[in-house]
Amino acid sequence: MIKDEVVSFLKETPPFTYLEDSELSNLADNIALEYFPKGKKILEQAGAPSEHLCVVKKGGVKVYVTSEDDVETVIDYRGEGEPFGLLSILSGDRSRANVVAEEDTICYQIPRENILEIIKNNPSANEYFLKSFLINFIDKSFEDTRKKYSEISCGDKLIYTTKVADVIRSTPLVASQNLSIQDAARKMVDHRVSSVVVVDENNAPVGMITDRDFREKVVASGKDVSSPINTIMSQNLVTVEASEYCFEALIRMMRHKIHHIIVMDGNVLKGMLTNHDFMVLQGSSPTVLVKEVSQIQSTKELEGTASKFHRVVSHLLRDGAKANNIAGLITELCEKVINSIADIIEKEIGPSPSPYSLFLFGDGGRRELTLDFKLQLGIITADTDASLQQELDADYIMIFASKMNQSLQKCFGDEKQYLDPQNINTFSKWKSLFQTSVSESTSGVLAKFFEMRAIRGGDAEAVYLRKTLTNIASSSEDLMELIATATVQNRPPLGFFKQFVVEKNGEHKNEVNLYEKGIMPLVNVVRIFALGKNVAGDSTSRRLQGLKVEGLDTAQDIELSLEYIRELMIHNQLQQIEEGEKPTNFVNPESLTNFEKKTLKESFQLIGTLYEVIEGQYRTERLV
Amino acid sequence: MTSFLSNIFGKGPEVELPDHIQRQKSLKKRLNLGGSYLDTDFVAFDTELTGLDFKKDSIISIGAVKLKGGIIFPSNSIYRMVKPESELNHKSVVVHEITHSDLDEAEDLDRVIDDFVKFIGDAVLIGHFIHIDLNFVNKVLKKKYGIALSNRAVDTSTLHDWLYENDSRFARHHEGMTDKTDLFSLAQKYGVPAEKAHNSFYDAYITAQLFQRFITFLPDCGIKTVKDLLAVSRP
Repeated sequence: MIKDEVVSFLKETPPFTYLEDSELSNLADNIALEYFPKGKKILEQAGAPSEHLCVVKKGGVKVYVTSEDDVETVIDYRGEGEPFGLLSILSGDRSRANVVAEEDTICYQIPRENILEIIKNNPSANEYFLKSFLINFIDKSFEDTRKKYSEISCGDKLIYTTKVADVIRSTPLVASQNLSIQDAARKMVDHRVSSVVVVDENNAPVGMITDRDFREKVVASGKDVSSPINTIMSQNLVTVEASEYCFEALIRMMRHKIHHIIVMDGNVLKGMLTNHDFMVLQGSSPTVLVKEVSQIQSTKELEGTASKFHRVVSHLLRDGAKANNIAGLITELCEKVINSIADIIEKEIGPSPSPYSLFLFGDGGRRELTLDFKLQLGIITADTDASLQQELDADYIMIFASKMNQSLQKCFGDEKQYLDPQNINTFSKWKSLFQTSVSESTSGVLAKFFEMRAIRGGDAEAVYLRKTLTNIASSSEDLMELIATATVQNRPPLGFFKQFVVEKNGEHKNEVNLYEKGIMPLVNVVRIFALGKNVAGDSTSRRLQGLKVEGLDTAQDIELSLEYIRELMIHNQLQQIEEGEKPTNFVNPESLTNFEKKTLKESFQLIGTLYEVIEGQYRTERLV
Repeated sequence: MTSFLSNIFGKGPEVELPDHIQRQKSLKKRLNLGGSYLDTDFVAFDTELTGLDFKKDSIISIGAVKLKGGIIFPSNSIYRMVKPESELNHKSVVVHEITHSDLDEAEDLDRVIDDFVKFIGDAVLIGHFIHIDLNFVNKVLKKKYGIALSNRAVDTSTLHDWLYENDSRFARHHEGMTDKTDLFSLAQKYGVPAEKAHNSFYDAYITAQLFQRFITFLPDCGIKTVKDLLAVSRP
């Protein structure tokens, strides 16, 4: 009977999976099936609230809001098995967004009363609804409802779904940079705060002072307390935009090992976030794993690290974290692992005879790693004159490299050569490699080094080399042409009739490599655009921000496509892991819903369009 | 003799007709022809038959599902199998994949039709080539009560042809596809999921979904009321 079909559909559709069979059967009794032709507006922003929760059975819908000046912002696309209309069911007053059928769409409709009952009686279903919908809070009036719920649901997800602006409580205490140390200290005591932001005459922040600065730079070193505070302030201001997610702030604080971060709204000081704010927000921290891997003492403890990563990532995904953020976190975790391993190795074989710098390049350099851990490491060793010293250094680094590889293989359970001896060179060797490679046909490989980023030892050398490379690129039409040529060789996997072009044979027959065919082309294109417009930034998302400022129209589309493909990829990897396979970047398009197929195709088409732009800008040869 | 007379004059007044049959007589008065079809109750139904010979063949099963306008209520439905009077015809076993063992749950035809009439109530009926199904249902009702169904009927095949002729978007949208108008071909053509082996119940469900799709085209063609709808989808 059709009812069985409805029940089995619901059974596979969260949050109804949490319901008992009798409850499901009850629900199925009251369900309706509605059809919306493509283009049909199903819910209207500020219009009547939804009477039912709609779950897409086939097809897909777009959820978007329009501002007063008619600017449309897409909140989400909902495909098969995904619900819409919950917000207005909860609030009961009006619809929060427009919902329009993106293709011919069939929906199951579950009456409002049934949904409210489920939310009331079933904690797991309740939690699911709130989690998946909290991601898309839409306006202030819903904020109260949200606050109410954030107390009862788990706090972790909030850092992915809450904007920095929503967390900062008050503007921080500011002090003019000419104020004396003593006056500043008094001010802090009066206001009972542990930090103060130092500002210049235009009220723009120039530095920060915390309790620690008083301890270390004043008391411990016996400094005169009448000197101005700009002599003791820390000048490397780490800031975050108020419009960014808390997650971004947290990542930055972890990276810089700081406990306070300044919140800006453009040029205006907005406030300050502290560890305490996060603890309040989160209850328990998602950074437990970060702590755990930083505290690894022996290589034995490395085993099973990969599966810990998987668990964390699967949590994050379920909580609605953005793929871009997840990639950032995976990279951050990998860096911590590598540093822990390096510590262990140094304990074992002693410190390096000469300084060296360990760097990431490629995906890791851009902070875009996913669960297949395409980690690529390189080392810059110091230039020394004495040949004996050179040999000593080389021996040490080779042992270091082989131990690093063994440990990482153990950690991720594979055989990859993470630190290829080919990528270990002295500083001057790297420099000449970059300078001479312009003429070589292999300069496509060079692209990855635009994102070299030191994670151990000094970063001066890596920064210098990266700048060298950027300078060569901006002054050498030849290099740009070679890079552009290498990029456009990798054609999007769409046939003449826009059908997917899949692998013809081998292990991944009938599948598409999302990384090679989707992520890499977009990353490469963005890199070329960024180089062409002198836009700085070592990650693709940073570059895109810069390119947006430069007025690149397609930046937003690229961002969305990247996010979409990356999320699909991580989802796919998690699924493979759940099925006991090794995570790969391959997906069979036939396993995707129509909606997913369509979005993926559009992303591939975008790549084609971008290639045309590049082919118009640079002399490229398409090798067949 | 009684059966001969009752066939000519109908049942004598001494036999009290059951409520659901009695209701049929006043049904037409209750239908609001000027109202919107979106507010109207419909029942999509289909029968399986031993064959198409009106004299010899009969109903094997009947399936039906309720709608209000274009909204289908999948759980508000019935599916009944009928005990065969004669041996199962080989051909319909192939078409409908009903086997003799399936018929263990089967009931008497009279009872199934009574329940069906109760189920449909005042609803407007929807079917694909619905006159065939109606004929076989009415055959039973005439024999037992001397009446035929008074419910108005919409034929999805007529409606489809009318839209094809009168709505250029409809025609253009489905250009170059099959001309076949059997239920399964139409289902495929309009993206109605129809992978199940068909029995009268799933066919009724598919018919309901075709109707659901077709009526989204109607407002732009000036078809607004139940009366308008009936005019363009006559069996």
